Amino acid sequence: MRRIAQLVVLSVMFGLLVLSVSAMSAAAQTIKIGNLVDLTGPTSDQGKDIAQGRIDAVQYINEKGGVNGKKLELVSVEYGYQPPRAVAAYKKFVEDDKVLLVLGYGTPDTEALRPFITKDKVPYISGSYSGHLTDPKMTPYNFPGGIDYTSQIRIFINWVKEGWKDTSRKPKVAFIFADNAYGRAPIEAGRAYAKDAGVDLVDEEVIPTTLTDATSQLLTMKTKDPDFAYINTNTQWVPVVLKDSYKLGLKTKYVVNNYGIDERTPALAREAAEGVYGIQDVAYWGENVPGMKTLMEWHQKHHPNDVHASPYMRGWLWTIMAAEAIKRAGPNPTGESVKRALETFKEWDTWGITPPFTYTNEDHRPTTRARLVVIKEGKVVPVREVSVERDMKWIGK
Amino acid sequence: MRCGDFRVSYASDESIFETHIPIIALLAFLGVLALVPLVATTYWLDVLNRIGIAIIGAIGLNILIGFTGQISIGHAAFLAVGAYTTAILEGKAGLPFWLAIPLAAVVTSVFGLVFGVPSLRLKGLYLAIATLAAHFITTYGIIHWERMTNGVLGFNVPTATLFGYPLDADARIFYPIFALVIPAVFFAKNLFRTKVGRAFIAIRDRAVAAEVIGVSVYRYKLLAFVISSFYAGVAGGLMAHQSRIVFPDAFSLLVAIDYLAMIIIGGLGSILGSIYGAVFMTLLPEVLKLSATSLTGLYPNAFGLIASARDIVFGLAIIFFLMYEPQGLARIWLRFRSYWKLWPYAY
Repeated sequence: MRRIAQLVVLSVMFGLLVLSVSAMSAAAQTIKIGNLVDLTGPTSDQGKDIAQGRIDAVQYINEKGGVNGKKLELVSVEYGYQPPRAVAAYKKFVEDDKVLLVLGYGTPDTEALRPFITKDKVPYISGSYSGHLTDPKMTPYNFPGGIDYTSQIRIFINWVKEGWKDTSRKPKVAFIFADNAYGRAPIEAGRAYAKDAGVDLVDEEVIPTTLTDATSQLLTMKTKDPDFAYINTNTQWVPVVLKDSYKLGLKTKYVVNNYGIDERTPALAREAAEGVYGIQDVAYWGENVPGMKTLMEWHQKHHPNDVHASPYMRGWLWTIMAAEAIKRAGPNPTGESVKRALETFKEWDTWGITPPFTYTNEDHRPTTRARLVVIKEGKVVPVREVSVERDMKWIGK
Repeated sequence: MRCGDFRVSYASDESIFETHIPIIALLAFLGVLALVPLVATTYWLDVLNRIGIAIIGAIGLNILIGFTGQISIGHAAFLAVGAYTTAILEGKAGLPFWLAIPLAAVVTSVFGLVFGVPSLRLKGLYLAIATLAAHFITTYGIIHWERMTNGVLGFNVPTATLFGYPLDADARIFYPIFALVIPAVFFAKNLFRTKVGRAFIAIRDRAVAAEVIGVSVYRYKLLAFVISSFYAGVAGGLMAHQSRIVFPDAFSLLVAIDYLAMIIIGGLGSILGSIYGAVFMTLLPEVLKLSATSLTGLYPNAFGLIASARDIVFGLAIIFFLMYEPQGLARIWLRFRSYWKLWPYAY
């Protein structure tokens, strides 16, 4: 028995050694891209699809001949949504792997990394759309990969105001947000904007990052009786809020931000999801947009049995965006030239996955347009396009 | 060839090393270790630094659990106190690194003293739950004392300077970490050759008997908590500098469990075991991660699969050790050594 165990251990170790050696020798004439994802933490619902999307997109680009004749290589690190582990991964990307740019991930880590990113001049395309990353004066190398959370909360408040017909009183809103940097990112701006817009912010409820029950928060909210509530957490946890709210019989109408709702929500929250609105940055799986054909063909060819949701599209989006920037930066791209290339994006077509992207050296908000969706009869249906002005007052907030 | 254990003087009976060879080997090893930052990549330095920190933390926990028999799952909280105190002392009060770390360790000791009080009345599982409370109280405090800790968002730790050198790279912070690991190991090793250490062991083996032979259980239990959390304070302070950011989730209950696993896998009641356990537990996820990264070239989904395999492997390793070698890696190494010492003429 002991001998067998020893043999197993030895052979596993040997296998790992061989694999790591073979992987080391494969790198030549490639452009390295850091790939930071959460596959085990509280946002793994997004991370798995995002990682898959990025890996697929890189393979796709390489099969098409790479970028300026060079192949892309993803250096992947899983960090469990833990900022200290993200810092360690970042150090590895920059100092060991010498990556050209990083495809980052969440808000807590991206915000913590800001000073390093600026110092090292590494373009950092993040899954975090935090408004704090949009001002190039403060964070010149941060590029949020979608409509920033602050614009989204402004869209929500505008939408509430537009639809409000009762002249006897102002609409009452509440914010429900996760107790982390992501959840809190747009809240301060949201408070200020609600005041400006003449909407009564009557309640704020903080929910834990990983959530099993929101009853106590919702009971407090019930006493304030808001007409609308904005939920800023992840797809995995939004259904908990919705179900508890349904159970308690709240009349409040919910609007969920882009990472909190997608095509999986109806199945997770069932009847509690009915009539819930969402702000969406990307197209859904299988939707009729120009790039979807490529994605569907890829999926058919490589992993026809997988199920994808919108994070998968985000994985593709950020990778093709990075590839485009590297292409524009020319044959010998550097961090600085890629940054400048990203800032030449003007109404750049993201294969129709999102509204076109524009980055300038004064504004790193890629777009301020999104889609409003609503859940009806177990399906997420688009309502209309929504947008806010690119008001410089809200940049970096 | 050695064929027995002959100690003919008090000096030789008290020596830590039986012959000169291990001393030379150890010095040579430390010499090589000192050269590592010149050649190693940032990634491996990061791993090494984390190993160094884990060694200090694990020894601290082993003093408490392995030697004194006081079960604690509040170790992550003590690490957090050390890390936050260092970060606040340096970031807000502007104290230098060399002063902040010992101060943080002292603050953590006081913390340990307070949360060690339940150990006077509670034993075993009950004490474990009491220390669990310590964990949650600390975490709550950190998250809600926003003015100092910046709540759930955490904050960046300023780069420390030591002897005029900024500790801004892993290669730089490597030296202070290992410069602290060495005294930490030697202090612990010698502790159990003194009255205090023997009192700890006596309490672990039978508190009543210890009391009868004149060991003040009250004093020594608290002292064990103080020493243990002093170690945790140092480890936490270094952690804050090594990861460059203090963040409440970095000190979750899982961290406490990781440390428990370290001393179980390494060997309860063994200083060397703490070192082996710290090395093992820090290296294992890295080895898994590396294999995952190299596999992605061949099989893209491997990355996701192996990332979630970490916890499974940890679980299996703990079960394996508890069943086949409860005394951990330290014992395995001892057996291995004594086998080869007499090979091929074992008798």
